[in-house]
Amino acid sequence: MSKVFSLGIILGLALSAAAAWYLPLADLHREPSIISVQPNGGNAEIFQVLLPEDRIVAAGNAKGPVIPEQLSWPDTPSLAGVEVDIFKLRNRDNVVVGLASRIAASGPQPVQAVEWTLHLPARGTLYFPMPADAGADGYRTGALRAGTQEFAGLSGNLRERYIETPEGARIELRSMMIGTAQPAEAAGP
Amino acid sequence: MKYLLALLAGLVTGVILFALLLYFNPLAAPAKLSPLALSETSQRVLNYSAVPADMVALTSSDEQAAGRRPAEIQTLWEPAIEDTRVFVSLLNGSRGQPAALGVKFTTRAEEPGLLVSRVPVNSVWHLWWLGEGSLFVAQNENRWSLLRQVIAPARLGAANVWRGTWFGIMTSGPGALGTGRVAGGSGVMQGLDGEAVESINARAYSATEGPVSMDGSLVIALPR
Repeated sequence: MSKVFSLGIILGLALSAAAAWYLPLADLHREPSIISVQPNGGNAEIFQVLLPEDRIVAAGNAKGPVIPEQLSWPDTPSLAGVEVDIFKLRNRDNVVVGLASRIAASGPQPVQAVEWTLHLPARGTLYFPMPADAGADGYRTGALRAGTQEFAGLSGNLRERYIETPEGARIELRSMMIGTAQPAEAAGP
Repeated sequence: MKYLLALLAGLVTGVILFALLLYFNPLAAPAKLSPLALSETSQRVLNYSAVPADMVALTSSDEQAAGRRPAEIQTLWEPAIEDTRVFVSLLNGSRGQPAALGVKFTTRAEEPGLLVSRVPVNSVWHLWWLGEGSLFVAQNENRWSLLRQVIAPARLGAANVWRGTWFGIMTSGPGALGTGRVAGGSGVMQGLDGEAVESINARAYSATEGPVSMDGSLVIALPR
């Protein structure tokens, strides 16, 4: 009997160790990526933010609303001209796939820019600095500066466009990504 | 039948023994020395309060008001973002002056790690350095020591509160020396690449309210 009990202890220890070694601590939900392949081999993907429902935080804009209304924005003179927005990020089918932060610096800030960070929990994060002013076509475009997880090592850009709709408005974010070419020697046979 | 019961009792005992071994593993000490301590690069320090009440905004999938600021903020209930936490904070420089506005996204990582005392978390900072420009910091964190030495004692204790002095380095990668990656975006930071290390200094934690007295520090090393 004691031998069977001891065998059970060893089995319990071994099974626990195997589970601790192999099982991930999180099982992140991943929506299918809706990607179209471009003639140059790159991938295009459209994300969107529906306004006002996807806006989690809006602060720092002297002309716009503060969301949530109860949010207390720091009364710091050096923050003047800095706006921050946090959004829920949707794919082309309107399903929430991640979060995004948009920081815009204008007015009294000596450096003026608009920046997006797209955080897709199961896939990684993308970071795009952009110029402060949109182009004549209404688009603002920025190059990918950094990416993590499945976006690491890619190059590409993001185009931002604000679109008025009968229900409100939406921000369309169109990403174009391509893998960075490897030297022939490094690529191997 | 009695042999089957003995085997099952042994299995349960083995699992409990393993859990105790993990919990009391003396080899799982928190990293105390920053990999940037001996670096000759130019370093900047940003400090922030990790107490929800001190943040500009905080949200997660947590329905309890203690996990959100302000309490009226949207929760992250959608399946794709329910394991993510995001906060906005004003960070101070080494002299205590407001230096940067930061947004931090934190998501539990889909990696195993318990056997080697790792609770892996992926996080990124989107930082706007006031008057200078912007930085993006991507890092892997290990929350094991914080969970084991601060949060678990608070949850298991009779008073639901932990008090003490605890310091630990959170950043564990992706850099080879356990540093996070930094990419400059705009202004004087544009085009710069560097490394970062984040640490936590805890003094009080409540099982119901979360951090009561806890500070974070982000050391950013950039080329001179």
